[in-house]
Amino acid sequence: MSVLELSDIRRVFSRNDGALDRAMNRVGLGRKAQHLVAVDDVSLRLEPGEMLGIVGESGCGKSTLGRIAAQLLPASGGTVTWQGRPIAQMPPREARAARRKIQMVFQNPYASLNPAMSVARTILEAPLSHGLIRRRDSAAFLAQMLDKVGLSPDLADRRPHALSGGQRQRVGIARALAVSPEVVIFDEAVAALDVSVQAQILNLLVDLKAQGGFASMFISHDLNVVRFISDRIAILYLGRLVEIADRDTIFARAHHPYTRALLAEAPQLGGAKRRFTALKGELPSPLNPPSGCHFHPRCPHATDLCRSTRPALRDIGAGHRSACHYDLPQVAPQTQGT
Amino acid sequence: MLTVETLVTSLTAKGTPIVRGVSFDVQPGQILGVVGESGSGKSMMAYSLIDLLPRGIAIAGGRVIFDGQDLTAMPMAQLRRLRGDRIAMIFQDPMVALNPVLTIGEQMIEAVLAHRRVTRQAARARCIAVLARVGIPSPEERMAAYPHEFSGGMRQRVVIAIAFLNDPALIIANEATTALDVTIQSQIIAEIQGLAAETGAAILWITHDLSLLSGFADHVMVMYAGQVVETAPAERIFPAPRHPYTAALMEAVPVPGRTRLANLPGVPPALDALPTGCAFAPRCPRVQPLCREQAPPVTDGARCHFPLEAKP
Repeated sequence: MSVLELSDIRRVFSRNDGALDRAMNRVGLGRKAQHLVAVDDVSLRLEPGEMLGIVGESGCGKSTLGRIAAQLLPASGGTVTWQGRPIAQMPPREARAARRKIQMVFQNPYASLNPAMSVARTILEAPLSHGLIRRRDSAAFLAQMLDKVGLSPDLADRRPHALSGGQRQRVGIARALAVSPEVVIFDEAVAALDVSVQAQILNLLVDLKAQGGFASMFISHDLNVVRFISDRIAILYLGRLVEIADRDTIFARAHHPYTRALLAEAPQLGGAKRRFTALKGELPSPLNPPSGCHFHPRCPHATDLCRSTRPALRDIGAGHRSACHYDLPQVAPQTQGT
Repeated sequence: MLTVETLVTSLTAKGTPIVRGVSFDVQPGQILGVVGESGSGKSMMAYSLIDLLPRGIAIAGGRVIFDGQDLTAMPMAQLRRLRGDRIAMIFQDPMVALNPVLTIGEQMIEAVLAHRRVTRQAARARCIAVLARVGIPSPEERMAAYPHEFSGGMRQRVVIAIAFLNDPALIIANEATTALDVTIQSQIIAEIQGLAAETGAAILWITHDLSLLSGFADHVMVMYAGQVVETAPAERIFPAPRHPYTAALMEAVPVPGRTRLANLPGVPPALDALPTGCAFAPRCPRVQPLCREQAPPVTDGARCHFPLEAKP
């Protein structure tokens, strides 16, 4: 059974009309209503212990999806199922317990840590208030958590401003793990870090994953990072899931033209010098997405069908699903340069 | 074309050097990539070249020779005439470079007229041609648009168009694609590559992204704690880095097949509390007693007592 299942999740943001707008609407003079479909019928399952990478460019809805999964943001439609039961249908006590089992680690550890709280309080607050540990055990628990994320016990009394970026992110991870979550959602958790610090945190995540105990979603714009850390990878484009498969399948046999473009454009260390040739066009505005397949204006293979009809996310074998109308021939794997 | 000799830039109040004796040169048509982590001094080095340093930071030594003239000794008015003309800059955030209350056309035409004695008509024609060259659709209509009406990628194209407007000999780009999505980044790099090849402009491309440089730069310069720790042609440095810091940076990048990344312990030193000897010694996996005593010499492009062997 999946730990967490998202079914047909949809999230629409609408402009908040003021009193004047409402009055004008009544007399038929209102501005046109604007709706932004940030997440457009996305279905995903998270299996126990796995790390699912969620990749996409800005505005693809990856963070919104993460927040919905973490129950920080309500969905406009669809169901979040926790261990076989829809959270929305649980009695409040159980729903709260389920929510506690889903924790989140954010991009900017400085903004997501309380500047007035010491490392010790940041980590201990939730487990103490939920009654997961006894007060007299808290010192031992804190030492254990600090050790788990590779922080020195000397840092326990520090406030966030007295920590480096990497140390702050370790505190953010320790805080999430302190309530024994079964799912952790990492939202661009290494994006703001320098490469040497990013490497330390990624190594830590590999170790924590190996110790087991939680499944995770790893949301990132960086394909190289996602490739390093994830077991399976989901690719979003303008709110829609366009492809999902296990990691090696994505990199060996990407099916969707957008996935292929992303793979071709991601800078690759050690790649030979090359002429950059880019995918044409801009990312369309999510306020006014293209008809049919959202990717068609930028797709080199688009046809009339793509312009008119949204492609279904279809199974193309062994858990590999792709939302392209066509089975385009595989091009030889891109070895950049010589 | 640009030669920088032992450039030193310091905090004026305390005299702490933040750029510590940087020397290099760039040839016409060459793309020189400068890479470093936060605090390595790469931005301050670039701002020193054209005296765009923030208050409280000033050049304390060295020379910046451009077209035979020392920019550090040049009167401000003369340097200002060079900026935006023979030397252009591209920054990370295009909204900082663009004036939000002027149309793109107004600010582009102004940029031409500030440096060229041409008619408004001719300046306008030049702007439209350059906008078209960087891939802005219907450039004539877009001239009347304001910066906020463009997407992030399109805005950065406009900034690049302005940079190329007066056929500069040198372009300094600081994290110019860092804020952009990967497919848009590729488009921008493609434009820069094309323009550099066409016009022979030299490019100083400053970034934290080593992977990007490996497909793009001719020559790479790695900075750490205000110094250049390694400099070499791209085809040498990527397959065979010689400085342990360069090597560690490369091993810290997730590349296919890697299951573990280099664990470079610690953080770069505070510039007002530099260790004796090599600044990288406290984090270096190859550190020897000598490294903690004496500043290392530069041999074969690496500032290191014990550089890694060149691979056969």
